[in-house]
Amino acid sequence: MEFESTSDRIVITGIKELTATNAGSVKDDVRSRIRPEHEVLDIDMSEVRILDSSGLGLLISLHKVMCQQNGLVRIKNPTPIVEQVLELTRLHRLLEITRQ
Amino acid sequence: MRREALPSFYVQFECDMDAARTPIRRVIAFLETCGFDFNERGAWEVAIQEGVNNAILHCKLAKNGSSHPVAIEVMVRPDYVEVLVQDHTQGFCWPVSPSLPSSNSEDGRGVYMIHQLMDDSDYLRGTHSNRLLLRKNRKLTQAFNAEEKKWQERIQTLEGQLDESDKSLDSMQEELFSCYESLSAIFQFGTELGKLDDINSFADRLLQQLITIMGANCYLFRTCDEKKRLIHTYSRSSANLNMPPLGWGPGESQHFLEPLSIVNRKDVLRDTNLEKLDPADPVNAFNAKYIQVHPIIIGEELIGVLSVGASESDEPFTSAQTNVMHTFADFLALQLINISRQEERIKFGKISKELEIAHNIQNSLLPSHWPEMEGFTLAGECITSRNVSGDFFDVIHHESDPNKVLLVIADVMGKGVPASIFAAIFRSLVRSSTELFERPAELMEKLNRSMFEDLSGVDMFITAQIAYCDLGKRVMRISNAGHCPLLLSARNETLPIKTHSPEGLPLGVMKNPEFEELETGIPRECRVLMYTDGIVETTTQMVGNELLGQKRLVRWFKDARCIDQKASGFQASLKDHLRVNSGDQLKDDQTFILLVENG
Repeated sequence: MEFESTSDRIVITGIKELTATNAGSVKDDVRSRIRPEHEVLDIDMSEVRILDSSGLGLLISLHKVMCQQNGLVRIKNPTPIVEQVLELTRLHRLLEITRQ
Repeated sequence: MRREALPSFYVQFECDMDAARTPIRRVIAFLETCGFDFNERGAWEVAIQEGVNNAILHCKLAKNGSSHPVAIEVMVRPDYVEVLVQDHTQGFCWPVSPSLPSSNSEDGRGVYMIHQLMDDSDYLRGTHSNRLLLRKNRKLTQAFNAEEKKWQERIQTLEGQLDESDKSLDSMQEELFSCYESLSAIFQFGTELGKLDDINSFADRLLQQLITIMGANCYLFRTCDEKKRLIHTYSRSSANLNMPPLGWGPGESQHFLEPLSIVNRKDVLRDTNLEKLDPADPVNAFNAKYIQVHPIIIGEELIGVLSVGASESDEPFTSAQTNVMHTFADFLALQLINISRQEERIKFGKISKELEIAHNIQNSLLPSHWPEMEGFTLAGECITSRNVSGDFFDVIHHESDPNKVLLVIADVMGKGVPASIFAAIFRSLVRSSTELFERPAELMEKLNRSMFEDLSGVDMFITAQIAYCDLGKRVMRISNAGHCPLLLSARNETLPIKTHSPEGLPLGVMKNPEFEELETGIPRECRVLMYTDGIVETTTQMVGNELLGQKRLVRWFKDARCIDQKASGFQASLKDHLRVNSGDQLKDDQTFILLVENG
């Protein structure tokens, strides 16, 4: 997992999975890198092969953090299974999904 | 039959998230080897991950859970996949209808996701172990099976169609061959039609050709007499088939094959091995294995019935052979109809000629010239609606006294030949009764006596009027047998028009009726008209194509009487009055006699 940070944006790439196995550690890692000036948190999910309910919990948690500083979370290029899970749980209405 | 082992996979691991990661991936890899695509594997991985998450979560919560492993068992069936996740924790309550938590909640979605991703899921909570059962139908396999099934059905259909096509081609080839044979034969026979002088031998040769084409052995062709409901043998393949006439009406043997086909107006087929015939049925004489009987109907007319038998064939007649039979039968029937019509034409021509002769004879019986009578002229005419007529008139002079004349007019009920025969008899009887010349009523009685039996025997009658005129004494005696009245007047306008119709029934109605005899004077410059009902019942142009009628005739008579002209002049005037439209056929005979005294 890699992080790229600018003045107002932080980008996370290289995530392979977001499950109960790693959700806790990823959550801690990302939250530690978010600064108050960040307005957007872009999570590149083009390589994520599995997203479970714990992974969803992580995304909601990060969404809350960004909302508190008037920012937002964007899910970038989700794989089909990630998109299916987001739609099944209706979180595609909460999290912004973008494709490039 | 050896049953092939179904794919399955089993793995167990320590109750720990890190330890679970690799076994879950191995399960997914196993599914990949079973042909699951990326999306299916993704759904299974999420569902198994959630199941394992729950197991490990509750394992951690349990006081003694950490010592027991978690196991995953996979069973791949042709149409579904079942995965069992087993743990040894205290378990939890599996919601019957899991729902989503609020969107801000960070947990509580696992069971809901399993429920959504799987087709079936169940959680069996036990004392020492819990089992989460996940089941999902194999969409890919299902689709493949459905597709395969569809193709197999398609192939079967195509194979069936191919078989049908082969059969159709065979049948068409056979039919085409038969058609060629039948057409060839019909053309061959068609060339004979112009020089056909013996229809019986033509039928024999045609039907012999038919049974050769059909591979049959014998035939019997019979013509129908629809009035008598009988069939008569017309042509047969051998002498022993010369059958006597056979009835097909009610009460007859309608179960015999020929009557059966006639009554039902359709072909009858029999395999005599399967269905024995009535021993009395004429077609038993075929001694055939297969018999086909075809009623020949042209338009609505039943012409005959054709029976064909095959004794050496192993199979019933094919549809192509049946078609050939029908074609030949129709062809023969048309020839029979043509010949019958030709004969009718010839017969009709002969009848026409005979009628023409009869007409000439009848005309020759009517007065052809009018005798000289001092101061008087006579005219008369019989205009017939057909060749021969039932109307009749005669003018008979006394043998020795030229001033005495007998005027006779008659109308036999009906028209045509029967009426003309009675008219001729009537004339002969009148002519042979000179002794009653001066007593018309007695003459009428004699005529009735002589003709009553014959007339009543055929329900016919004659209306007649006889007027004896003594021009010297200027007296007239009239007798009437149901006939139109006699009109009597004179040129003098002051004298009335008299209509004389003495009492008397038509001849042939009663055996001995009485006939009144009326005597009246003959005025100077008299005008006398005797006529048949065809005169007053004609539709004439002179009165706007309406019936002339008695009143209009009397009016004409009243107007015409003033003219000083001979009887022939009155005749021309009356005929002009009777003129019908040129396109109209005269409906009844018109006959009249005129007696005129000229000043």
